[in-house]
Amino acid sequence: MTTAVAPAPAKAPAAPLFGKAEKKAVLDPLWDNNPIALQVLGICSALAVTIKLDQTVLMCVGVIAVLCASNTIISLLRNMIPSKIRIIIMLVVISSLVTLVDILLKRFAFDVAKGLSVFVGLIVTNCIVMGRAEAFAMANKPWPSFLDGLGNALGYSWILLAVAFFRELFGSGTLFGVRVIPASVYADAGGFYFNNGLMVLAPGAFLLLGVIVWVQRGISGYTESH
Amino acid sequence: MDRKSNAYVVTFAVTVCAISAVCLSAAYNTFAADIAANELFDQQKNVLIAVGLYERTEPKSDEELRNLYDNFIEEKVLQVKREDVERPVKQGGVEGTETQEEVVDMVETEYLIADLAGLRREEGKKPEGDRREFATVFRRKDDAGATVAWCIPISGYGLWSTLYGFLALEPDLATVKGITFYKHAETPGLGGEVDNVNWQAQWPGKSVLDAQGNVVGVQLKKGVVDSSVAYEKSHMVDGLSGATITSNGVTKFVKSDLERYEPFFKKNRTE
Repeated sequence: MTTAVAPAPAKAPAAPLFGKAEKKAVLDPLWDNNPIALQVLGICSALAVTIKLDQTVLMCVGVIAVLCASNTIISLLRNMIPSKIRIIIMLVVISSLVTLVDILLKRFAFDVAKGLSVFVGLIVTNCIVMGRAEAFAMANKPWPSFLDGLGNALGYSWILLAVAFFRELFGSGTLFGVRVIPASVYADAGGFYFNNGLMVLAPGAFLLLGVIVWVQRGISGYTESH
Repeated sequence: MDRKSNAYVVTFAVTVCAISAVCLSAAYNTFAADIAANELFDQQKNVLIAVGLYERTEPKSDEELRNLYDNFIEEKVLQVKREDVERPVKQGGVEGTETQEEVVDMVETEYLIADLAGLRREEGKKPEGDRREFATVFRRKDDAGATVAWCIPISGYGLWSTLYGFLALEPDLATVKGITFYKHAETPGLGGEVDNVNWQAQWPGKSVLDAQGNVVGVQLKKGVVDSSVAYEKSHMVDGLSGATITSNGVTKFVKSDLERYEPFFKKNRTE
């Protein structure tokens, strides 16, 4: 092995790695076309895994990995996939990736993975994953597809993290399991404060998600077209 | 090959499936041993929780938990002996007897829990009549070696899945000390509430024996326990709402597992 770097052979001018279109692919789903706030996809897991931030972070990592990989793989195969069975092929790819993520989580983060229980497996049914494979990856090259997956996964993640932040803070008084609201203000210890029980239940997440979607749409100026 | 032909579609589908299958098996086999170790540690943690040495929310490092387990938990492998026992039964007003296979004895062995899987495989190769049946029991001891609690594995069907857990008893082997579940696939929010610590907190103090000393287990009542009724207060906990089948399952297997260990408990019961 030598450390000398051979000069790169001159390439034909290719599409820039981070051109305007690529930036848009990542940034658009974060705000203007957010999969949760605007397309209202992937709500099920947004309600189920947002009680504790550590679980949410792991779920987001799982979704980011699956979405980026599935978009890339589907895009690589896009010219080979027979259109008759394309949905089934997407499912095979996505569910294999989800199983892989499940195995890795059980190996490297057993406790948190156990807390996520069936919801890791249910990434398969997350509409965002299938939706992006069908709507974007089947028609675009691997790199833009990867970026599109990344953008959508991040768009999904930040909303989930926002929901989880409020749910854990007001539902348990902690953030990442670390006590934020001091124990001394609780009614048990003679204070005045109670945890908000609604926040740890699914309806609390519904309300919170509704508020976040409302605020997000209020700022981004999105209105439903009829 | 023609992209639209059936042959192409079938070939493509088979190829994709084969590739994913190979990738997944490779990934699983790479990590199988580590995952098994994680699962074992998780079970040990649940034994600690059941016998009251550890609380789920307590910040303790893995190292501390391992030390706790090694120092205060004694694992035993018991050999189960079953025999046909004649029991009187009354059917349609006619009294008769019925032969039932029951656990008549449990003998302590020198085997270690760590070798149990291999031991069971060995037994599986023997002719059916010669197979030995093994069961595990955990004893929580204090610094002097005296018994603080006993703990047995419990498992049985709920609605979707087999639930696995541990039930710990006080040294009198009649009073519940704690219960945990470490593996199940019941519906989150309904049957999955067996994991709810507030529900599990109802178990300690319940009696698994009735006044005559018969095993009655702990029943999950449909609804809320009425603590003004003596029997309910000592032998029942609240059922899980929306999860009747899981609740009935838990009631059933807690009782049958306790019955299985009863011959061993009889020998070790302290008044």
